[in-house]
Amino acid sequence: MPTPAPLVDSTCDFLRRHPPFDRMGEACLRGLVPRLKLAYFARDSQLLSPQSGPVQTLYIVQRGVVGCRPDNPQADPEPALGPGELFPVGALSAGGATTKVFTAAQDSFCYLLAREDFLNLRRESPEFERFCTDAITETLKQSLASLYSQYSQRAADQQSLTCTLDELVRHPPVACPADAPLGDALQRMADARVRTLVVEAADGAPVGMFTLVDLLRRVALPGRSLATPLAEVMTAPIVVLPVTATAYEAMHVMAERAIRQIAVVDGGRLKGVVNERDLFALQRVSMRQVIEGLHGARSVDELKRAGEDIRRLTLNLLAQGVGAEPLTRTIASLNDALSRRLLELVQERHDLTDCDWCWLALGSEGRGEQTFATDQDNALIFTAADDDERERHRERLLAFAHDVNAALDQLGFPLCTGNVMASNPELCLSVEEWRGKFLGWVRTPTPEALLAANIVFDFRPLHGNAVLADALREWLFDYTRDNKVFLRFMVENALQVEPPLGLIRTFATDDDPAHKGSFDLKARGTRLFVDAARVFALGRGIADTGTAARLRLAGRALGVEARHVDATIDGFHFLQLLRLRQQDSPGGMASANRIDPYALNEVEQRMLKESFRQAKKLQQLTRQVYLA
Amino acid sequence: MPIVESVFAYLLGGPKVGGAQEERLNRWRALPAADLAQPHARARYVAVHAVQSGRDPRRGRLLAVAAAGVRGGQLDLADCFLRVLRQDRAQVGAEVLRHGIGGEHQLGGVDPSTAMLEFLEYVGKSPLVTLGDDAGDRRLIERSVHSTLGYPFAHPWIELGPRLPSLLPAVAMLPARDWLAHCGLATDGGDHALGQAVAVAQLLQIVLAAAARAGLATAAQLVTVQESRP
Repeated sequence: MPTPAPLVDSTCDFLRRHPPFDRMGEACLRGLVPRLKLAYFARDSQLLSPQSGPVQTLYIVQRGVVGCRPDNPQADPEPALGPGELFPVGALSAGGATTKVFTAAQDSFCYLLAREDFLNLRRESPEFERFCTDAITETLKQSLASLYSQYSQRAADQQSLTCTLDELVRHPPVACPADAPLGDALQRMADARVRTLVVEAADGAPVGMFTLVDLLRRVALPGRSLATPLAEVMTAPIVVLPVTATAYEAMHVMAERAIRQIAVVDGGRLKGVVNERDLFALQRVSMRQVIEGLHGARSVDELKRAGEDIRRLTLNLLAQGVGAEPLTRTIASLNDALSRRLLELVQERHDLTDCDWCWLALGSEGRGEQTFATDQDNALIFTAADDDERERHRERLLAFAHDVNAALDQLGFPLCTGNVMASNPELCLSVEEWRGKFLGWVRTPTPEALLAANIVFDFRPLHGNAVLADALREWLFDYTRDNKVFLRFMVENALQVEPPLGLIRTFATDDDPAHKGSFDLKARGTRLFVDAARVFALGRGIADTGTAARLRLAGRALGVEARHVDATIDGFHFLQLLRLRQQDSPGGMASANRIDPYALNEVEQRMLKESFRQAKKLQQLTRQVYLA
Repeated sequence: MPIVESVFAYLLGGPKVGGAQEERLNRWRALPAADLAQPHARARYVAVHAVQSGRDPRRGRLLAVAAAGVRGGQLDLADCFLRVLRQDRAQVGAEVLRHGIGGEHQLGGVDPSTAMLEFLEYVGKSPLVTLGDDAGDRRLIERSVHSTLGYPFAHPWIELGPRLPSLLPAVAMLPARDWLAHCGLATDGGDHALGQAVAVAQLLQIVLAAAARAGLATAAQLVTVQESRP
């Protein structure tokens, strides 16, 4: 039975008052009406929760108010939804369960739209599609924010728990001798504006504490005289810890004894007081401190300390909610500074004066996308007038490279197991030799050769004469730009791996016994983005080596809408963030990129799925552009 | 055809329709009766509103019939019905104007027996629901079916009004014309007949939820028992 026109009209009138329906085409909107059902929800009844399973229906509030809160009793409720608002767009698009609980705050009516009709509408109406994409991006951002806040809690804990009490005591103690009259002690507290006074024995050892609570209970209420000796009203005995104790021990003792402050002693004498709040305060390592440490380093050992600071700083940046893109960029630029300083230090021991060379960073370092568990990938390029000079230069540069590789290993960048290092004579080459090597890859792009070449294609000058590297890239682009045969091979290589999205379960995990139930976030995840971005870079002559930058430039050239490109890049960064987090977790280095997707919380699972969907979309785009 | 009905039909002069229409009517009559013991969550109800000429339901004529289906507690926008019946001469009255059924509309409406036949086919054997105020929607529809199709329309009806004191006491205290407004149910879009039917369907949804909470889980427990004959 076709819906009578007056009902279509009045329903459209209602919908048109609210986005995204206000901008949808007339035909789309009228076609939508017969697919709607109107449901009633009595006040306080629950519409939807994570327990309802995969969402099957879009809700559009018609009348009333629907309350919304994360599925966590502690979490603050989110803005309630009124007439014209729709939910849950993110979960519905992803085909998952919602992470929130929706409850009717008043007697309410909602239009319902079945998921299939919702997906059809997204295809039919670009305006509706756009609205949904924006809503999903918003969900993604919210989820990232929650991920960061979890992280910041953990980082804050680590920070305050590993430092010693010596570092936490900031003020000299306010203290009084045990035989002082109460009046004097109160005067001193008032002058110093403190709530706690430490009571000292004659030898300077803390024997008790006196707090405002004690003043109330033991002095004011019983009506004692201010001439009473402090010793009679203080709290004693008290808990004392040495300055060498860690904040973790202090926290433990406080929790065990239900106290709020601890006297800290140095060699038996009072050093100060640490209270609960001090333990939670975050001590940050500043960027300036780290960079100064790097530049001032005079030896590999000093650099090693700076390397540790970099790691601590990165953790702090994560804790402060810095996004994956600026974060990886920071890691990269600090690691660059570290490597450059190291190269300078090593160079002092080698005579390379008459030689024109450039140290190249390859692989993830070349792209500026290192994680914590990045082994070194590097190479050297140099000029030579003739064969003789070439071999002479090579010999000296190999010796230099050998020392650099060993020192980097000491700094926490393990030697490359595949020997992709400048000390490998195959990767310490003159300009002509490099050209020959690249030409070989471009002209006969066998799958095996490309696998090895991928890492080298992302080269970036790190130290020495950068012109050599830049010129090599420009030369290379002349051979790869719009080179259909070569690019086709690159694309086929890039498409060999598919994102681990399952047909039956959400994720397809590996089957082999050693890794059952998990997959590799790099091999099955970030690599897909990196490979596609590289193809675009080579095919279009994009000099930037970073995946995000490559995708942005390629997207612009291909006329892909910026928000779609952003969604793709967000997906890439989410995977990068998961890798960083995994590597930072206890024992994470051993299984650097492996995760069990089902061990993630629901929000993260949903984001992971969305990231893989983005990878798939990017692969489809790559296929369209180069294989169609 | 049950004997009692055929006797009635004979006394009343038999079906007034013939040919294809009679076949359609018989097909409708042969449909199995609705299972009134089904829980609301599985049942289909049809909320209905009739527009009549004049104020007296005993004498007024049916000008338009509008209806909205509620299945499993949900009002299905694809399961709604509206027919304006063709009149010999246009009727003018407050109710008529309020419902936006002007003279031109009336004269261009559907042939009454076709309209009623289509209405029956749309309803099937689902219980019909009216606001159950004193407007006499039920009486009007029963009389129209009988007069156009020659068939005494014995059908399960739910009248919401009598249910309100026990289920929605706050609403029941108000005069009938305020029931819908009190529940925030606008008879949307220029107050047309269908808007009214949709609002009745929404009130039904509220009543069904309240009835389920009160242990009245099936249509049988809500159907108006008293017999009414035209």
